[in-house]
Amino acid sequence: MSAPILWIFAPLAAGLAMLSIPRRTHLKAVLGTGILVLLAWATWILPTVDTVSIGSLSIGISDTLNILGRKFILSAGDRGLVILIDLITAFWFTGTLAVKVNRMFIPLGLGIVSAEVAALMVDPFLYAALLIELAVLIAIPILAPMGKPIGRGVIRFLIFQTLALPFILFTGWMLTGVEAGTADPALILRAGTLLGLGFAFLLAIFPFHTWIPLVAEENHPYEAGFVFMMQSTVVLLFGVNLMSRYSWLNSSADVYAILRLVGALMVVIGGLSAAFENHLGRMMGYAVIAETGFSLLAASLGTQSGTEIFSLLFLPRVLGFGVWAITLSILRSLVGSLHFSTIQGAGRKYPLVVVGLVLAQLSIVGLPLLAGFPVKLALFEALASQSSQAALWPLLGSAFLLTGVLHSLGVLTIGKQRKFAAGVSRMQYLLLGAGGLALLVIGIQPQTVYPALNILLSSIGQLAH
Amino acid sequence: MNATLQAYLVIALLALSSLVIVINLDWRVNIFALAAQYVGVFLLVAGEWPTGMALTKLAVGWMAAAVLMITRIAQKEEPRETSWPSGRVFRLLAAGLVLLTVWSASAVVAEWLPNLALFQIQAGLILIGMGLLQLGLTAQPLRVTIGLLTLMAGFEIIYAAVEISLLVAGLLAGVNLGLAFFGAYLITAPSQEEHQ
Repeated sequence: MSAPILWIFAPLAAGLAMLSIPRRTHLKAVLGTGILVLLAWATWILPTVDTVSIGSLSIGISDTLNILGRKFILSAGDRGLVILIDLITAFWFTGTLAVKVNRMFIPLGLGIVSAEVAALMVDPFLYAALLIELAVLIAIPILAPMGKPIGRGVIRFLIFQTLALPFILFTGWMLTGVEAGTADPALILRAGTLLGLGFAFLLAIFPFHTWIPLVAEENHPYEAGFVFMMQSTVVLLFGVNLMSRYSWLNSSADVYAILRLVGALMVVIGGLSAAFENHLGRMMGYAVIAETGFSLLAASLGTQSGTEIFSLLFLPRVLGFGVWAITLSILRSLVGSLHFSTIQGAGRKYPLVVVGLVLAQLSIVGLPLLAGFPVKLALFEALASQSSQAALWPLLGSAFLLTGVLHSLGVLTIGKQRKFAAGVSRMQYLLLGAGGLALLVIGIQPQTVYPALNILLSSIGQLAH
Repeated sequence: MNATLQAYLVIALLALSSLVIVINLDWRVNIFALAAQYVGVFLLVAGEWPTGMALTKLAVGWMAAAVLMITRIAQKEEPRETSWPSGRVFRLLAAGLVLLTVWSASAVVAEWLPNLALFQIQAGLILIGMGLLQLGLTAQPLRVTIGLLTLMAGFEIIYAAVEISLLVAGLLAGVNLGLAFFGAYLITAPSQEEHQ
């Protein structure tokens, strides 16, 4: 049996089976979470090349799956990445126990996992762009639920993500010439430019970032947050793996300089836009843009510690945005809209929900005692050790983001209401409490979690220049 | 028939069909133009790939067109776009500009891609340019889907000359069908709940 079959097709089959269950979103959430945790556990303990004996039955396991003359390989190094994808999705599925989502959310989420895990395994790995595009297509019904008008955000999302595909596939062909050593500098420049454009579309890099705030405003915050997290995680992993495999990219100082510039630009634009925003959903969208910028900045360090920071950023990000999205979903269901004019004073009626929201926002900003702080601190230190200017701009972007958070806190707590309102369920309090506690515990005791995560993600391509 | 003449007839077919897609606002005509476009794509790809494999482009394209056609037939009349440039003269001028740009840029692109014949580059760039123009002029799901399929068709003409892989052909077919299928979903989704 080929190991990739299990990790690619099991979630897909489960998702297809769940499509036939009409409602029962909680059952689907439990099943989906269980399947993904089981798969992550199996990835951790099962060998990818061996013979497994169950009683008198012995099953030979191969790490390679051949389809149409190409290979999907679950190498020992990729296992950590597959576990990461499975666990991130399982985490988001758990949250659906507290918020009401589209009934296709879990089945389609499993389909997205299947496509993205396949993207991490395919060889030649530039074909991953095709599988990422399939994941984008599967995400469309999540962002465009039935019975609601189609927003501009989902249309732009579809267009921009599809535009990335030709650029990356074509670069794959050009890179064969570069790798063969026959390439001239002009070819390298052309390949680099096309690749950069492809990733600019995929990662929603300025000026192709406009779909993110639109999607965050027009859609259910939890569903939008899931798509943001899955898409950015896989594309970032794909990008770093790509850089580590091509020596001309990995050793070019110019590439790292461009990454640093683009990363700083995204943090500043995301932070500045969040500071002037008056819609909590859009603010989360701008924070997503800033966070992608931080990952690019970590990759731009081009060192072992830079790669470690890059991989450690995933945990506080997923946790922070998970709690952020849950709180926004609860507030939206209670108040009706996330616009400041509607949400005014909500903190006085639902104080625990707003505490969860502010904790998540401050963790994303990177304030001390919260999960985001240790990794952001390490990133700023590493950037400052290379150049003080490199740390200054992202710091400024973080300050802008903090301004936006304080602005929203002011709006949420304005008013004279003194009585708490009902409407928040026990499950919502439970998950918010667990999320908020996790943000605090990881922030106060980072050494309990981050070393294990570092080992898990040690296979992420090493960058060095 | 002379091969060059044949190639330029195919380019003319592609230019005309993509021009119809950009200028015409009637969805029936647009979907038929999309289907005609895939005939041109097939003829160009057949020069590089085995005919059987090239036929997948035609089959997938026609299936995509059929999915869109069936979906659209079941819908009420589409509201006219008011916030986008809808004048035919404007669209014609913009399309003319795209065609001129393609004509002048194709020689430069040909230097970058020595493996490709000039007519393949021209055909691919025409569809990519017209697809991009269509995407810039509309936000309606059907027209956006047709624009994306046009753009992908242009890319596939160029890519077929440099990459012959069954897996890529299969995945590209999946992407094209996926675009049509989820485009159809976007067309029907707003009215879907009423039927449930």
